[in-house]
Amino acid sequence: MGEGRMLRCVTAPALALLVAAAPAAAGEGLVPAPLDALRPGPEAAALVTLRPDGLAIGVEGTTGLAAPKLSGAQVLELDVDVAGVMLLTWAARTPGAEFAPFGPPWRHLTVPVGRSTLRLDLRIARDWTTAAEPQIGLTGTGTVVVRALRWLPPDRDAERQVAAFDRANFWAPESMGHTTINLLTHPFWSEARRIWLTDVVAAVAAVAFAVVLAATRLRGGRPRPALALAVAALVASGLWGAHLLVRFLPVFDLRPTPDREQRIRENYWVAPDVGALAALARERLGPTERVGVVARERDWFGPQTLCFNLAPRPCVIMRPGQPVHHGIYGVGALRDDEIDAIVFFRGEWTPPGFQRIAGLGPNRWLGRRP
Amino acid sequence: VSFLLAAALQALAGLALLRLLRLGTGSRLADAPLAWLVGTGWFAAVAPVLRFAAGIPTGRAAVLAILLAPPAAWAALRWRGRHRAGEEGGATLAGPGRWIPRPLWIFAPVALYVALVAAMVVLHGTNTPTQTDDAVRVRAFAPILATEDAWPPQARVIFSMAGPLTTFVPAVGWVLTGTVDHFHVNYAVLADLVALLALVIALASARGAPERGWASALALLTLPLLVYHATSTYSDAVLALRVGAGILFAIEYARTRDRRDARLALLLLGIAALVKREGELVAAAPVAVLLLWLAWERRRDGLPFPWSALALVGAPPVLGAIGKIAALGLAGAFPMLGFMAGQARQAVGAGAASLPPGTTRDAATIFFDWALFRFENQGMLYWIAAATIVVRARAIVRGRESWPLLAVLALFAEVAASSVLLVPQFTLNQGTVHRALLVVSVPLALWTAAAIADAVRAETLAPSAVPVKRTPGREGADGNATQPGRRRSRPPRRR
Repeated sequence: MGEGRMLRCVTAPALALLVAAAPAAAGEGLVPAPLDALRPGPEAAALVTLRPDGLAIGVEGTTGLAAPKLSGAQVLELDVDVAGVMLLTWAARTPGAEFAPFGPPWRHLTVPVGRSTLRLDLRIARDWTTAAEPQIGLTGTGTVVVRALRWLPPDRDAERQVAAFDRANFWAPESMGHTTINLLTHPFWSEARRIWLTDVVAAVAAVAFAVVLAATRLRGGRPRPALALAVAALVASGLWGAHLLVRFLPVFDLRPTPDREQRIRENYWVAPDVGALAALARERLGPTERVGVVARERDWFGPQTLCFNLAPRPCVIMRPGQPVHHGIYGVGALRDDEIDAIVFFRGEWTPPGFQRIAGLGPNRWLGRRP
Repeated sequence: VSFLLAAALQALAGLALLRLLRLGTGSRLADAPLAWLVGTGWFAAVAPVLRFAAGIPTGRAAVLAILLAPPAAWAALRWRGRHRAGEEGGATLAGPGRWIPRPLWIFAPVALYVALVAAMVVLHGTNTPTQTDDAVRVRAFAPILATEDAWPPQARVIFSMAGPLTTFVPAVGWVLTGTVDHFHVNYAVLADLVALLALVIALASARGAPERGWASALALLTLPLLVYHATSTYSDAVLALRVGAGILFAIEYARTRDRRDARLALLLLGIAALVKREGELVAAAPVAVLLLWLAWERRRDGLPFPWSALALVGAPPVLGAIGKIAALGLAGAFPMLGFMAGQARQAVGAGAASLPPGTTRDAATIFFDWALFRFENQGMLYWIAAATIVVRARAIVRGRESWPLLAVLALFAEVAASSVLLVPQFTLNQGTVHRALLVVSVPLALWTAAAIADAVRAETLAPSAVPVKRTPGREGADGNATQPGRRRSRPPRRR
């Protein structure tokens, strides 16, 4: 057996391994569900109305919806019509498990403006079970009209359900959140049985090593441990590389975007409203204006990101009741009367003396002294 | 455009420095990415000294002076005809290049994968604005402070945390053009990745073993956390790539025995010390091993200690230290040393008793099991590296690849001690352990790929019992203990 043929013999099973975990078909048996299956939380009840054209959801901040009637749903599919800037987070609330919608993994998407169909695979959300209640959070500013709702109920065949769950998680894209920089989503060959993908790939590579070693010996020559090692390493790297592409290709933004303002406006994946407001502020505020950012007390991402994107303009994060405000990491200070313009991002207080000049919504706007 | 201008000027400075120091790979294609790595190191080492020690503002004139000084010096020396010998010396290193790896049916998909992932990283990294870090820090903020050049006390603290390279290099284009484009921070990180990829491929190809280069590139780009980090504005990838570049030349030195490779290894590791507050500590471990290696060889050959090599490795961190001390005083200049010393005191003192029972054991499990072998972050690297060490144990002990491996193991020991004993809390919450491992993973990936590629090559050459003629720098001279031809031609061991 030639070396090339031998290598093909061991790479073929490796590729077969990937095929064995083939992703589920997109259309898998979804059934229509009534729109009132989506129920707003008590704080959002006033923002949600059932209209002839669908379920209208007002969003200013975060609007939460639950679907208790669709408990155990594997997939939700929503036909939506969107006006505004919005992040949609989907999660599963399982009785007895900690509810951590922001992960990891945090499952979210930036909702495109206009009409579109959103497919939310709940099986890849944290702690999903067949008893889990689907949860949807809309963060941003604007209106969403849900025109139709479909769902995939849990499979009564337990084995088929486990297989579908494992397949969904194996092919799930990487979840990008604030903690992704520290660790990526855990890869399982079978999430239900807690079989690590690394163990499976290592086992396949070990088999490849043994096959090449045995084959070289059977050929009557001397054993080729280095060749066997190289083949095993290629099989392991190849499978892992293929899985890396599966996870990263869907979430990497591969559109060449020469305009940096467009990148700031559209590419804040976890907070599109912050990006849109930053781009607006960069467009409307002068290069020498001194800026204060007003945000919620506990929010660190919004104000820091806004100040960062406004540099080199002097920028501080404003706190109520303080005469002097400081910039990122305490660098730079401005008194109240030194601030020319403010960027208001979901703040809990409004500094006096500023007039709104532009905005994305009632809680995201720019102000300047008259 | 302003970043390209800045990159070109820094690469030009790096190229001139390489010529002045009589260093280089002997291949123009490999020297180009190397010039970026060296030129940015030059700028990062000198700019803080000028700004903080000499009190000269880092405006356009100062930046141009720093960047044009090496080319000017090189041109002057060239004009006086003194450096011809040095340049010729660099050119002899490469030997006959071979650019197409064999067998093509394996390396064509490998090259395709490398090109695809590199393109993905460049596009996504270019498109991704700074996401900011956490409640207290925005690391990409440091270059903006360098551009503003005001340096209040808090800004100086950020400079010491970010390190000179991360602070000053992305700011070059802004200072030169007067426009702040936040994405230069992304471009600087991506340039490091592209430079290392180009370097590993061009260097190996120029030295007649393109398989090693493409295998190294594949090993790097199957590290998922490195791929992700390269698209961010964090500098963990920068530190890992810089350390990797240093180890790459240590691996080359093991093969070529050309002292210029050893000096390049030390110079690049010295530059790595300028990245992040951890840089000095991270680079110290492999540098210690490499210096020990050189000293041992010199002693064996009856030669004096390689002081010039020590000067090369020492120059960037010493300049960086002068800048930091001038900016913050001795007490604030090395925050990581202070932090680690404090953690070490706690680990052996009263702090150890205050930790919940089982903390060290849990941290060790997370580090040695999950982080290395189970989670996605480091891919299959540690499995492959462990297998390589086991399968090639005899050859490693007998051959020269043991010294670069020792340098990587020294790094590993440093990160393991830090993750398990000194700051187990960041391992338990998985806040930094996977990122910290990147500085081990990148050099280990390069070592593993080179070890496997060279072993296959030696094994393939082995049946021809004809002794291979040894020419320094050429691939026929692969140092490998399993090669019968070489074993036979090896002179008796010195006693």
